[in-house]
Amino acid sequence: MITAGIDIGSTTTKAVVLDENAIMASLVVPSGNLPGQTAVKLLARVLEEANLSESDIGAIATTGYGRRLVEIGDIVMTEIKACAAGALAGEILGEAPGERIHTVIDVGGQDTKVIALDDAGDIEDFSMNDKCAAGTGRFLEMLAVKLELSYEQFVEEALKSDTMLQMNATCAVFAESEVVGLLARGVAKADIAAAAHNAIASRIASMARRVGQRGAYCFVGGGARNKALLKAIETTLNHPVYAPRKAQIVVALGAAIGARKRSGGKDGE
Amino acid sequence: MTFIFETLLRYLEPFSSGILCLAVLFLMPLLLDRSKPRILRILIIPAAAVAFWLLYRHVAASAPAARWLGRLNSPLFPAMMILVLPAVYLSRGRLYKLFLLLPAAFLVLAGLAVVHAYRGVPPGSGGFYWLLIRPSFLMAGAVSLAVLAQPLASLKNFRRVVRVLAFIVLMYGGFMFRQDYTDYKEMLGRRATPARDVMTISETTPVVREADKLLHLPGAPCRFSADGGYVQGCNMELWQRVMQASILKVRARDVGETNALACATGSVALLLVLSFAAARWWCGWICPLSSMGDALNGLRRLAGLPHLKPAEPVKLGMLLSGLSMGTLGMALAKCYPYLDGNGEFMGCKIPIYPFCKICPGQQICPVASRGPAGLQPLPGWDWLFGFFRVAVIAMVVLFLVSFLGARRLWCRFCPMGMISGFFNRGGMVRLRKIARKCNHCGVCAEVCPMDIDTVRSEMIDENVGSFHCVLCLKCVEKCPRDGCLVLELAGGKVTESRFDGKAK
Amino acid sequence: MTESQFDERYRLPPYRMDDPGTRKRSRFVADQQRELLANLKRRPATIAFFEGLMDAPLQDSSPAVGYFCNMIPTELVWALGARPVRLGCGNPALVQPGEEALTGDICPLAKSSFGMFMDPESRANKCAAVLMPASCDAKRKLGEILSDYKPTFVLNLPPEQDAHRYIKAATLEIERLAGFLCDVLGRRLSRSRLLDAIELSRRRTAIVRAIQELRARKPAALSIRDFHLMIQASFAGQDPEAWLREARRALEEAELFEAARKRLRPRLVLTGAPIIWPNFKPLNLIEECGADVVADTLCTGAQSCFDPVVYDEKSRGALMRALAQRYVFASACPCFISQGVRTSRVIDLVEEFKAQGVVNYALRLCQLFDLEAYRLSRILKSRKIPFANIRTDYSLEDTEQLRVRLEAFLETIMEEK
Repeated sequence: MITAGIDIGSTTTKAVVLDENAIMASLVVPSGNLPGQTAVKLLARVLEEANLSESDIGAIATTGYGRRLVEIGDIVMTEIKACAAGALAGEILGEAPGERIHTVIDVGGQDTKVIALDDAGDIEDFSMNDKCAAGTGRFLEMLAVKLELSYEQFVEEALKSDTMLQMNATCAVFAESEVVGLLARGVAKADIAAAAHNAIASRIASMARRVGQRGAYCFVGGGARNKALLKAIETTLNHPVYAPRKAQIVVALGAAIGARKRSGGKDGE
Repeated sequence: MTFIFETLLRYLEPFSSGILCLAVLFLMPLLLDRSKPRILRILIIPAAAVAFWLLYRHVAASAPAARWLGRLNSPLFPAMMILVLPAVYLSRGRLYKLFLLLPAAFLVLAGLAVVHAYRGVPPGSGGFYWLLIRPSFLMAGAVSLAVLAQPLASLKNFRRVVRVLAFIVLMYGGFMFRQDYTDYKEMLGRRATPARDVMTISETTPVVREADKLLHLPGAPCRFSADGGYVQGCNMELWQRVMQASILKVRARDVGETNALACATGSVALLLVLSFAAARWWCGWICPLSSMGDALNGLRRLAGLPHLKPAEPVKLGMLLSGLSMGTLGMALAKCYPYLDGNGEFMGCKIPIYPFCKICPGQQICPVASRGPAGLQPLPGWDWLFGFFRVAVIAMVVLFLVSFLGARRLWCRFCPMGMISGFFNRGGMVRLRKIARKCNHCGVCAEVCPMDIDTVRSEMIDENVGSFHCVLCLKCVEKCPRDGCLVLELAGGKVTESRFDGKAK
Repeated sequence: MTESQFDERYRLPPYRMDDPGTRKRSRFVADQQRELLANLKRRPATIAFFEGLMDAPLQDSSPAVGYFCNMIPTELVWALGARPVRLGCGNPALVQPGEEALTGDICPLAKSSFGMFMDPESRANKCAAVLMPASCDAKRKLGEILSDYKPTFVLNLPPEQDAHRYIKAATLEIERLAGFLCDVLGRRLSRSRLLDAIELSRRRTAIVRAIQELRARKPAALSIRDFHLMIQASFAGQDPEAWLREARRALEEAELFEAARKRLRPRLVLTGAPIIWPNFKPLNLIEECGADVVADTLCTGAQSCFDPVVYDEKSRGALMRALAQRYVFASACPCFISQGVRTSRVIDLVEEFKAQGVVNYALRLCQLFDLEAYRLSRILKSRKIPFANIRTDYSLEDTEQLRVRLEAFLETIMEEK
């Protein structure tokens, strides 16, 4: 059965069309002001890319912050469940770490989640950072602007430094002033960039500890494309962290898998 | 007609055995377990009865065995079984309530028969009314009525009724339930002139014409009540009688002594078995001393006065003194075979029932049953150098103070209740607490007349029975959490705590 | 005359702030919650009566005595011919004034309650006295702060719920409370009126138990939100007989209800911090996410009225002891050293009502509930009972995040079914 999963986030909206064990098409677009409308248009585009019409789709699942904003979904699931399902879909993604994944880290535009899985792949516990922007992608974007760098340059700079320095400010807004202070003290931009990543990594590490950290670790979401962040997390957790190439669409993929499971389609059971 | 009747009675005799009654008691858990198939529950009794009958006839083929077994027979047992057992199978509906008419009818008939008999009917006239006048039927009727009415009344009221009934039967039973008028006159004659300070056993033994049958119940009230009916002395008297047996005479195969010892030993066995079955239930539901004491306590409550809460050392002290008094009594009773003509042993004047002489029951029970005329003189100064005189005064004062001021402090001292206290945790009766339902309010400890704290504080062990618990069930009645405290008989639930006061 | 617990040398004039903006905002919050509930598919016919009680003005026929928490024996107030009014505030709009005056780092209940006192027209200022149990640090200090506004009595509680060890002390405190009330109201405490008040409470307990048991069997018959609204309406100090009558009507109506289809929603036991009208956020969330709360241990919910006052003897000392036993020792508040009472209650409710999970509502900035969550989650995990912790304050901004959390929890439970 062909299913589709749509992850309606606050920053970006992602869609995946899934057929048995292969992704037929996937797309990522900015959510804009009206994520509901964006989702509908995105679905149309991704179907076009897969050369299918809506009637070919067996079930559509919506997830993410805007999951209830649209009516196109046949089922609605939380991004927690979708994220866990997607992270475990190694064969579909075309890659997987050697050992079982027990912890999934999802750094999104406006929130960060850590999910602990048991041996059967069921969700044991999860932790969400939902009160504050510190520790999310937004934090890094803001700091990049403050350092007068593009986001890519910001990440490159962070990779250059090995510093253990960590930003102190718990608030993303106050972190801006902290950056000004550090620059004035003569700290290199690379170090500041690395310190910002360290701050996030340390937040994530404490979230992981709260849910019982256990390898192997899988890093998904938009933040997973940030190599500096990946490195910082690996250093803080003192454990290799696996980030799939298609990290950003993992949640949408998980939604599509969930849709298939719920409508009774084969799931390799 | 009479011949057929007597033959029938002879064949039915095994069914009047107390042993059969006990066997049925042990089958009770099976009978009460409504999850078992009904047919099994119905057939098990006749099956057990037939098996027992065969066994009895086989054993009773030898004459001495028949004589011994005969001592444990009484029509009370089958009467009770017939009246009570069928109710076990019924659900508590209308049919059950109709069933109550049966024992009620028995009681009415028995009462009428007694009244009739007191009109001076000459003895030995025989006839149908003999069957009805049997006090065993009366008691069976009363007990079954109580058992059957149990699910219908609130626990508090039910207990009150039982206590009053028990008090009446035990204190005044003899007056009402003598076999016939001649019997009664004879008994009065015997008691008018006691041989010594303390009545001997023959002076209070109810005599039944056919054979020497002695019916003992554990923890019975004092033999000193003016006519304790067919309830013979309390278990302290039983222990004393066991102590009184002279080993030398028994060795010499003295028939009278051996019989007396055998009787006493049989009664001890029965006492232990019934204690195993009912634990310290007697103390909370039947003991007339406690009923009188609680009446005194009621005066305090009416006056709105608070009660004294005894501290732990006081409670322990009462327990130890009770034990010592009991032991002392037994030790002195051992002197009985060695008393000389003056009633002295090694120069000390010792009564034949030493414990009875210090027990306050000996002062209080006669007053309760005969009024001021029952007032006994205090033991003289010559008994063990005045020990008994001082002790009995102290005991009476202790009795009054502990019931007037401190609910049931006396029961912590009372040696009569102690033997059954051991079965509060290991016997067939169990007080169980489901700790996760407890709200920690402590009301159970507050209402406990024995000031036991275990029920409140124990959270791990489900069995919260205590040596001192008299099974008054006030804690179960007052506990506001449904199903938190459960009273069980051999695994089957009897009653449990329930909100709105009806602990049924 | 009962001695004051506070130092009279440092009396301050009460600081009040007449702010129509805050009043408007707090009315708005209440209206929003009311509208939300008005859309419920099934509400008892008599619900308007209970909603009315929440706003009913306090008549001057008898004095009102304000109190906090669940540990004040309100029977004493009724027996003295006054009306007990529960003052813990649940309105998010009042948090800000309280925060501005006191500090931001204390629990929102304390802040908003103080905010309530700052408004000269609020119910708090219509009370003759305030009774505050010293259950948590905030309440303990709030006692003296509020004593500048109204005559206040702080009821000291024992640190452990050990009736054997602390019954004497607790009873003395209740006696002291009774003495304070008699002084403030200028009346004598009569035992017969106390017994009458206890009987009224007992009747309320009977109805609340019956409704909880009914809801566990048929959750669709009455929403948990309406149930809690009814219970909190009984704390408003209005005619108890009227409440009993209408509550019985609601119960009978709910008993007649027969669901058309089988109820598939997950059954939850809710435990945690007070959820006070109009801030029913956690209850709204749970029901909107598609679950049913079949039982709760909340001091603003069924637990508050669950246990009756049980007495044996009727002497004054015995009755005071009975009040202490029920209100102090039978409380499930986390302010005591051991969380055994509350943990047992949660586990008992899960087993008795066959619940599929436990949701703990922890009020942010409350150390007691936060720290209890640590052990509670592990104890429940060891017994294989699914557990979710919702940690939030009065504000409505984090509703979506909480929704995700709850939905994810429910998804896990549904899968385990």
